[in-house]
Amino acid sequence: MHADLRDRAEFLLVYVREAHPSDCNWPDNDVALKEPTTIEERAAAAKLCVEKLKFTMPAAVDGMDDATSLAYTAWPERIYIVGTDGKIAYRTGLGPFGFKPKDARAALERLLEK
Amino acid sequence: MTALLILMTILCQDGKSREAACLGMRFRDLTADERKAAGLESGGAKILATVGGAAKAGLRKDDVIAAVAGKPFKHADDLIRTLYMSKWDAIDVVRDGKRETVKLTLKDLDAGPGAGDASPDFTLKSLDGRTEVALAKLIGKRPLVLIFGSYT
Repeated sequence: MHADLRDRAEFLLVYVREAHPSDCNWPDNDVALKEPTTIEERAAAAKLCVEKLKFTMPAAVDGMDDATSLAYTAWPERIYIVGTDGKIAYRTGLGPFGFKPKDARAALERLLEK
Repeated sequence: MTALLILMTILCQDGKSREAACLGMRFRDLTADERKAAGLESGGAKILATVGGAAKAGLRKDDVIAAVAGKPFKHADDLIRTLYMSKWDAIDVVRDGKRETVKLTLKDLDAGPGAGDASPDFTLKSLDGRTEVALAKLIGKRPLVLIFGSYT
């Protein structure tokens, strides 16, 4: 979505607390990453994520108080689209089941057509 | 979704305590001692963290989820399926040794700004910590796509 539409929309990855860190009882089987305990550790995890997954979109780190993911009810994963008026134009459901990037892309394309 | 649920079920069948995150909560299976302390014969899940709708609805870290609308569940995986796939209007928790019923619905847990609501303001740090990323500077000219997530 970012690769195809970055010339027509702004994108921001907001890196939030881990969903399945290695030090939990249900860790991610592919990524051995402990739950960050400082903002520096969370930023390092975000850098690793961006590098490994080859993301090219701008990225920022949620604070250790999780204030932004709290405000958006966005943990563990979610996509929001904000209109040029600053109002929410679309949101996916919460992850894992409601996280549907294809639906978000369709919503963004509809918004861009207006 | 089906494949994921099957995987989750497999993960939970090895007898180990499992942790899950959904709907603004992270929780894990109870240990035998915790289950006994909570007065449960089976199942139960301990909340490790809450954000968003779960926090706003009154669920707290260290609450033990005992049942969903009076219906017990077997383990964390079963809890996820119950929350997503059944109709319910309350979560029974054991808090400070007492059983309480927290009235809420799936919609409460999924609470957050919806279409037409003002996008909550934020100013975050970039990954290198050197610059600030402010929502106010991102909106106005083009739609903004906010993608929340983590590596795991």
